[in-house]
Amino acid sequence: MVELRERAGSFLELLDDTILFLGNERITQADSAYSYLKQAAKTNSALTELVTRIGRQFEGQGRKKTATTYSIPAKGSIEIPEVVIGTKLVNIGDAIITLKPSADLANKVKAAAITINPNSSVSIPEGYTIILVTNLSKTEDASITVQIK
Amino acid sequence: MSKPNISAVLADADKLTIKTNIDESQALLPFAVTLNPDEQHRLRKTGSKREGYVTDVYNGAIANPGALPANFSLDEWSKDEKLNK
Repeated sequence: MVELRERAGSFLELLDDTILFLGNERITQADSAYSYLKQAAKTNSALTELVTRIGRQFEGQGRKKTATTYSIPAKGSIEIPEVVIGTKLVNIGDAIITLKPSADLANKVKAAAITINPNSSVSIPEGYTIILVTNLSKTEDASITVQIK
Repeated sequence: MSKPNISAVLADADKLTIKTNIDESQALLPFAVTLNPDEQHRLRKTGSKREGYVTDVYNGAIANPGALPANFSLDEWSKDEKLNK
């Protein structure tokens, strides 16, 4: 039986290697075809749904950056540099906070302070690379999470 | 469930038949490849998610051959898909 297992094992290894090699070829062909389909979808609306559906399979891939947690004392403010535009700033504490561009950026980015209630979040707006987060509570410390570069 | 003890003899001729069948099966796959560990590591793997991606793109390409350039061989890809099954 051991001799048979060894003989069959070699055969299975050959099958595994061939399937792996073939799989790599198939992925390469799929990548190539997908790029052509995406290109064609720009002028062919019938392909848009297909390309979008396939594209959804890539969502969530890639290395995910973890958010950094900050604590803000009651009535206090913190300035956070190099936040990632478009990511979420989440108010994970019990205090209401406000978000606005830092003083240096305030003149360039005309925007009112954004209020964020507990357990709520906002996407970091364009231009808010350095933000000033203020805790409006007079008694509670605030906690937030945000992604920084 | 307990199994009864095995009490059997595999005749040398039968053992040889099994080995010969395996060898003959292998001979039917002249295109088969053997990879070293480094090659195995470097090649992209078709896990279940990527398998779905390949299948979806393949079906999309088959349904829309006009979206592909003339130098893209759908026939060759179809051969690979069939061989993979």
